[in-house]
Amino acid sequence: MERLEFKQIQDAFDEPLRDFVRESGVGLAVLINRSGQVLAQHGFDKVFDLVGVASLAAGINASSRALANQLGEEQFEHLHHAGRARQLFLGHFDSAAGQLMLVAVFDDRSSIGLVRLFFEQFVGGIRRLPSMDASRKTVSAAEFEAELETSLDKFFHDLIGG
Amino acid sequence: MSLVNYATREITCKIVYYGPGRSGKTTNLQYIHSRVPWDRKGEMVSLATEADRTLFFDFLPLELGQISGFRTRFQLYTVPGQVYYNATRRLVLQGADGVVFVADSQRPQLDGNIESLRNLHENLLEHGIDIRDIPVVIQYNKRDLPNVFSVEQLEEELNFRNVPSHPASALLGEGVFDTLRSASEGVLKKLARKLEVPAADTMGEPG
Repeated sequence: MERLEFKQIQDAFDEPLRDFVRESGVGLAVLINRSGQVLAQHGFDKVFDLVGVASLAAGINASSRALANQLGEEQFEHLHHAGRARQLFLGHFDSAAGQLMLVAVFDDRSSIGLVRLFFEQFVGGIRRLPSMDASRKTVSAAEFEAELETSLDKFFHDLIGG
Repeated sequence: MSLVNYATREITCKIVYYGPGRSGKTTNLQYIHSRVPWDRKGEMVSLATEADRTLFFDFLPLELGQISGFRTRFQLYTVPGQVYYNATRRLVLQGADGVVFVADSQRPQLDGNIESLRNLHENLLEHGIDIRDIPVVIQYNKRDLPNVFSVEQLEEELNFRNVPSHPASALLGEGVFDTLRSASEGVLKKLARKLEVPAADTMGEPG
């Protein structure tokens, strides 16, 4: 099986995301994993708190899955929340990197139908990616541990008052 | 599970504050949020009931700085402590790299502490994690209140695995950063041991 290095995978995520944003007309899009960690994003700036959106979306996804399980379903399909000016789409899918979720925010320049259509294309693009191989030795564990104490001292010095 | 991004040299770790209802988990995060400079933290998100009890989770992202060239971030979460929120508690625990167990030092709360600790074991096992395999730090909170057990008594009752522990009064800020530092160190030391080991998926597929 062909395998990509992490940087290539990251670039590979970026391209389908860019295509999705362009074709669906959404304003904001972020690709996260089940813990809410951000893998790729488009459109977030200081106005919107990317990490907050990602963590809340992961929470919604997790609770939706748990609710589905309680009702005898494996997982519900996409989630869609509509507000007065903006709408939110949460679509999950399985990939070589585990279950991922695309969070998209859009207004009247797009529609849920368009978003769902191009989400399917996006998922197809991600699934066609080769598996990743990020098992490179790029850092020394001993060096990391040695720097750890100093870094923690620096961060906590003023806070603890040490 | 930690997210190590070798391309952008970033590490992201998740620490969950666990413990019985009203033991001071949210207060820990609120104090941290109030003291950390603005350029080292993100927005604190709290999903609480009208009575200010945590409904789903509190969330606070922190930026620790550079370690070995890696920009290191922590995501701090609390769980709802009340017994009937176990389903959400288990969800928040998903993908945790470390746990801070916030115990209430008050004598009448001992059973609640023990029950919550037992619940932590069970919920970790649900995610396929043995509590001995994840960094855990215990905080004995509310040391400023009367009618509390001594730290030695609490160690005897709760810390049978001899994990790092810290007395604290989270409302006053005492012991809050000692606890966080201890947990951060535990998580990053464990991560350091993995950095040289070929991992199946360093993107951090969560639990």
